[in-house]
Amino acid sequence: MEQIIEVRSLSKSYGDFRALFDVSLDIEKGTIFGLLGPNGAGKSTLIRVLSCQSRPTSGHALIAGLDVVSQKKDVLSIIGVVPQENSFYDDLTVNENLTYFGSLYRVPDTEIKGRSRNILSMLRLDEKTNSRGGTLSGGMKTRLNIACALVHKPRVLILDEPSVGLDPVSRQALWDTIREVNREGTTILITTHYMQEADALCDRILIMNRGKIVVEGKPGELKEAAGEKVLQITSSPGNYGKIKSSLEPIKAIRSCSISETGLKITLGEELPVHEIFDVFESHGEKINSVESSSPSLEDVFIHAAGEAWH
Amino acid sequence: MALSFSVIKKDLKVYIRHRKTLMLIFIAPVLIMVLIGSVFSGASEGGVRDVKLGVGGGSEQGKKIIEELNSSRMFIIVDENTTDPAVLEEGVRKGRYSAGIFIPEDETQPLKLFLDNSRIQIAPVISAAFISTTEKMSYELTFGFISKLWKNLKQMEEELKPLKEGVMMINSSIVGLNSDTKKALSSMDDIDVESLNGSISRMKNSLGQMRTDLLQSAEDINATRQELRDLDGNVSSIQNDTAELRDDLKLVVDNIDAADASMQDVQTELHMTYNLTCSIDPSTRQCVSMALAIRQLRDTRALMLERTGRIRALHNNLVTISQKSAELHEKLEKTDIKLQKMQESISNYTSELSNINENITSMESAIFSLKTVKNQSAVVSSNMEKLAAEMMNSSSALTSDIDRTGLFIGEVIARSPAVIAAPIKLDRESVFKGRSYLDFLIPGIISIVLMFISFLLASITIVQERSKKTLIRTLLTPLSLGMFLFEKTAALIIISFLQGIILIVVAFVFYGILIPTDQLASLFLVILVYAAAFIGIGMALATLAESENTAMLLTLVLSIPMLFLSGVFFPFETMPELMILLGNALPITMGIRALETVLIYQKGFEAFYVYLIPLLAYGLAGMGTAYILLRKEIVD
Repeated sequence: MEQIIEVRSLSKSYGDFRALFDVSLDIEKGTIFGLLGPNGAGKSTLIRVLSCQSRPTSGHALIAGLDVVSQKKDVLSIIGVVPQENSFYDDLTVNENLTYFGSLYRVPDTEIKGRSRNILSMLRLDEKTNSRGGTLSGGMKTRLNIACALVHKPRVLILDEPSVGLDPVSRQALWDTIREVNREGTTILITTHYMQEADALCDRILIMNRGKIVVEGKPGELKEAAGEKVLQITSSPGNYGKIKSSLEPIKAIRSCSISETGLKITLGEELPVHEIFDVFESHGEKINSVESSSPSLEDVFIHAAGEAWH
Repeated sequence: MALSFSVIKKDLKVYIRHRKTLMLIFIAPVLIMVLIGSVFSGASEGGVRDVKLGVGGGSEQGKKIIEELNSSRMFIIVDENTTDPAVLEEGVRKGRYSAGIFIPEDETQPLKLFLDNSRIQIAPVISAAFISTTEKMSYELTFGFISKLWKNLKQMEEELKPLKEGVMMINSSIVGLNSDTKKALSSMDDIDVESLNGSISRMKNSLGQMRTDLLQSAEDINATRQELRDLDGNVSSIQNDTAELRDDLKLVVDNIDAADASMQDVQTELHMTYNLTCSIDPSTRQCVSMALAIRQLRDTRALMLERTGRIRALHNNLVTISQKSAELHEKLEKTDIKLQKMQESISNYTSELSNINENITSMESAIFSLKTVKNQSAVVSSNMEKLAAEMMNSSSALTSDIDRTGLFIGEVIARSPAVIAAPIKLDRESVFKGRSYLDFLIPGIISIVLMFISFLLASITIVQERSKKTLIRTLLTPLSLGMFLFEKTAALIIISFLQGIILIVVAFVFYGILIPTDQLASLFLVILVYAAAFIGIGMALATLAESENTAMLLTLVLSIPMLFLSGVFFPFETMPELMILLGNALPITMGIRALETVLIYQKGFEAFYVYLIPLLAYGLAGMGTAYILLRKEIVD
């Protein structure tokens, strides 16, 4: 497959703080690539570098073979960036916003009209063509925000936390939109800290933590690698720290982390339930509930990063 | 990269769509222009009016000043009817009136003006009005006085000629007097003082003799008078005796006459009886007895008359003696009176002689003095000579002085009293004729309005682009930050340009202010550059501001001091040097100067480009700052 984004040994430092550390990745053309990680993981820094807003301290990044530093203008003309917050002009109509952003990409007026029509139809905004941006609903605004980045028919669409603040219905609609755009042949790079979103949308995901890549791969493969089962145990009085220390030496346990609801234990093929219960008992804990589930991407992160998702 | 016009078109569209912005752009300049124009048109129509003025004290001159002030529309007089200046000061302090004038009764004392200096705009105007009025009154008084003085001087000048002639006459008189004095002194030489003294001495002796004689005569007369008085006593005694005797004799004569009369009566009766009884027989005895008795009676009577004749003669002699005695007495008295008068005359003569004697003594002194004078006459002659010479010199100098004085007076009165009353007269003439006060404010108004609008729009539009993240989104397109700022500026310049046109149209429609058509190109060029300067600065400010409110606050913080330092409201001439330097360096001041050059002085490009260069520098510096700060903010 053709790689549309190539990142090699990319590092970015702000003084002593290293926001990105030796990051390398490839994104295949036409895929939806998810960039995950807790706050401060380095996702936004990587996005800023790829969208030419930030110069890397070392390493390089290519989009469609164009260097994001030396060929900035060319890169910007083939990518579309959808900022996290809606950023269009409330006083302009939907059509005028598209026309404006299209003109910034030097798209001829005649082409803009046709493209706008298609994009708005695809994003189900065709009935709001002449409505001012400020008068649209929340979901429509999000779609217009994406539409503005599509008007020049970008080869890569970068979305930075697009579902933040959206209700579940709007979020689902957003996902549909992204899939629709992707079907049109646009490579999607999406940053999110919603595991579910990444799981549902992305062909591949990359999880970052503290400026480094923790793990990268297809969501299913990653979850499989993380373990067979996940036990969520709640007990009282709940001295999970001590329990965790006692549980970690058990071979069958892949990872163990303290969550808001108790102790989360990822297991391999074996199920050492008695040993686990004994540990709880030895610490004077009374088990209140035990839930069993398959591993999620969060568990993948915990497994890979060795710490809980913050 | 070539200009895309995308940002310009978008911005213009947004400005038109956004009602508040539209109002700010197009309505605000109209309102500001109308407001400022209306406010200042008052000044154009006659300046400050209806200022409350407290008045106290009073004098004739002061009343004239108040009448003069009252005749203008500037003041409303509040008569405090007080003789205490503190009342007026308190009145001003309490805000009852904006100024108080105390006019002392004593016109030599200065008037006292209490000014409400908290009213900084009108206090100098009030002060100037008072100075102007008092100067005018002083001029009128001085002019009147000098005119009168000139009249007198002219009269003096006319009198100088006769005075000169008089001096020359005096001079000539002195020459004559000198000559006469010389003659007189030489005449004095002819007087023989010794001879005069001898004559006087002889006269004195004669007079002494005469006096002695007179005194002797007076004594003699006195003795004669005594004798006459004795004689008169004797005469009086004789007269008295004679009178007694005469009276006695008179009595005797009267008795005789009475006895005769009685005997005559008896005789008559006897005769009648005899006639009656004895006419028939006269012989009867009774008749004979009767005839005899009658005869006897007749004889007796005859004898008695004969015998009394001597008595009668004696009586008559006595009467004559008595009369003669009276006459003698009278004559003696008259003689005595004459002698008395003679005595008095002699006394007067002696007294007169004493006076003459004294006069002679005086004459002796005079002759002595004359002798002294004669002795001193040489000195007098010399002195007189000197005096005459000095007088000649003095009179010559005096006539020269009179000539000079005449020339001087002539020169002085040749000057007009008006020139002396007001030695430095200022003839004010406005060089910009037919222009109203508002004409001169137009550069200021345009500058202020454009400053505010350009400042606000530039800062707000950038802040909005930043806060709504449209800026960063725009910069995620191939459009560069520099081009974005340039197009933003271009859009704002178009707006400012339109505002400039609106302001000019409003100025024409509402206030009839005409912009010279040949200056329109220059005017628009200045507006363009001026707006660009403030747009640039506004953009720089916008990069520092976190929100629209902060941006507005920042523009106000910068605009308001600029207003005060622009010279529109407070003249540079009243500012400290540092503030003048600062004020002159401000873009608003440069804009006002450039507009003044175009609109008022109507000069060409070569006159105002000196303001455009720094304005352009301001604009570029502002945009440069905005570019650097935004680039730092957006791209790291």
